[in-house]
Amino acid sequence: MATEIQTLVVVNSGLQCLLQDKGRLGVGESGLSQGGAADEYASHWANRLLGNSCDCVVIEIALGLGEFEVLKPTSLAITGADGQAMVNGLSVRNWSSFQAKQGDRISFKGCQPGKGRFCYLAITSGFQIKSVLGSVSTVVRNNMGGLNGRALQQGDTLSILEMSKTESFNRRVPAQFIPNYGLPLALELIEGYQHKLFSEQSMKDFYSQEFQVSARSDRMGFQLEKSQLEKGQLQLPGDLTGIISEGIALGAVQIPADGQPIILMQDRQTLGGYPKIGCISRRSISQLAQRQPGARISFKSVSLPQAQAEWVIFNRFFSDS
Amino acid sequence: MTFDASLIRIESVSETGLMIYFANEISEETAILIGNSCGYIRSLSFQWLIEIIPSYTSIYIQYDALQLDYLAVSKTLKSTLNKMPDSVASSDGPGKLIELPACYHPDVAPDLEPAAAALNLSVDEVIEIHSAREYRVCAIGFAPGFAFLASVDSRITLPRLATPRKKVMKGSLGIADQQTAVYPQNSPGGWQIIGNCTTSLFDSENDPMTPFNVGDRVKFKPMSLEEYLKSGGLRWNGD
Repeated sequence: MATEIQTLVVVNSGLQCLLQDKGRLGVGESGLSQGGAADEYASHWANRLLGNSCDCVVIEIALGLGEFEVLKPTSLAITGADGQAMVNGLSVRNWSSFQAKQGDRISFKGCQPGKGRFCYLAITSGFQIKSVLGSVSTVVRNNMGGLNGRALQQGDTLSILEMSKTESFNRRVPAQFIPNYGLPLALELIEGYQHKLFSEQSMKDFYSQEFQVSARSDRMGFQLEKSQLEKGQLQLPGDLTGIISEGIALGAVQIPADGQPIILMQDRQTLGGYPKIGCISRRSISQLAQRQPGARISFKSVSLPQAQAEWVIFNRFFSDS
Repeated sequence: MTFDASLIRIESVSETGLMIYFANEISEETAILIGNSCGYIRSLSFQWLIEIIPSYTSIYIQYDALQLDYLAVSKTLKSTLNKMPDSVASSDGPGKLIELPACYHPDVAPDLEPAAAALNLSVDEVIEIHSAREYRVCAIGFAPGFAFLASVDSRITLPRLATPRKKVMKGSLGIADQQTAVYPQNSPGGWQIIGNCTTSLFDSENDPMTPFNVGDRVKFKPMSLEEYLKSGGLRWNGD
């Protein structure tokens, strides 16, 4: 077995810094949540900048709050929300890789409005953490993954493989691939589940409405609320308020009795009894994860073959590196 | 029960997810059919199968869309279920019986006495009725190892609490309408608590992590407070 070497120590764990990878797959039948990076687009880019495979373990830094000290020279990459990252007090460019020396302090000053909510910090060859049930992803609610099932804490030391290559040059994500998290977002909805319970007219109205991200949004689910009082609220016929509990896919759009949609994210519960009108595309999930409270959200319809084709292309692209 | 695969509906829900619907109503037969279907699908070790989550009337499947698209997966599942022998579909073989010791006592279950009073029964009658029956595991979810068991005798059905508790103690045995369940960990919850079970029902170090499979049978065996405390049980420490 390759030797591991301590390379990064957590100086300040901020709001919530979580070790994440692709998620814990195949455990839903026991009631466990999958977890996984909230924004897989950004986390995949962070790994790609270092030539890592996209399932390498990264740190997900909520609202760009946290500080780390480098113990051994290494290559790092940051992507996702703009947390105003600095090395020894000097700004570093987001969506890029850089070289770090022993003793360097990597600090994040936080995300300004419209600049996203999750920063990703990747390291060459990925953090070496003992996986639980096939994944390192931290699901705090299940006390599972990460280090002893919890978020990172001050003093935690993270290791990489001793033989990991360090590069002498820095890479940047080309500008056209960098999302602007301050723009209004139209989520791609793949209609499914109970969408046929809603009338054609009310679905039509739904697509013309605008919502905003509520403050009650986290890794479990993003709650949307109406920007203003609008007509044509999506409502179930008669007195139907629930359905028989069933498995919930990532990105499922639940419509509770009050008509305010809830979109289920990586740490969602496995079963639910609210009616759902379908799922948003994987691409939309990454975009939504970065929207702060108040961000403007609408929905547009996408066909399953189109969404599936884009998902395949996305994965092929990131499995190239 | 004869099994009619033509009643099954398969519907896509996302790029990587689909639902198999077996029925529109909850029944014990459907729970058995779903448990057996899950076992049968798993036994075929499909490379594209990522996640399989059974519930009361459906199975959710996550598949690897990089290997197969929706049409190919749904076709494979349909023919798999069509070929599933009736003897497998309705067999009670995998529906193993799990016996769980339970302490029904006011010191461990805050709702036991008020519930009995509301039901116009004595505490002993509630215990006798609840422990007399074999329940069927209809779904696992809400929390790791939380098994929804059905159905509760109509004499002891209880509504959920108007205000859920912030903390329900680990092992709590609750009733909500026709369902009963044990909380495997401390957690928030609104079911009325009538007892406690000290058996570990979820451990990520174990294989399997939870003793339950959809379709299994569960029976509760009453134990005294003394036995319960001796076996490591705690008095109620929830809200």
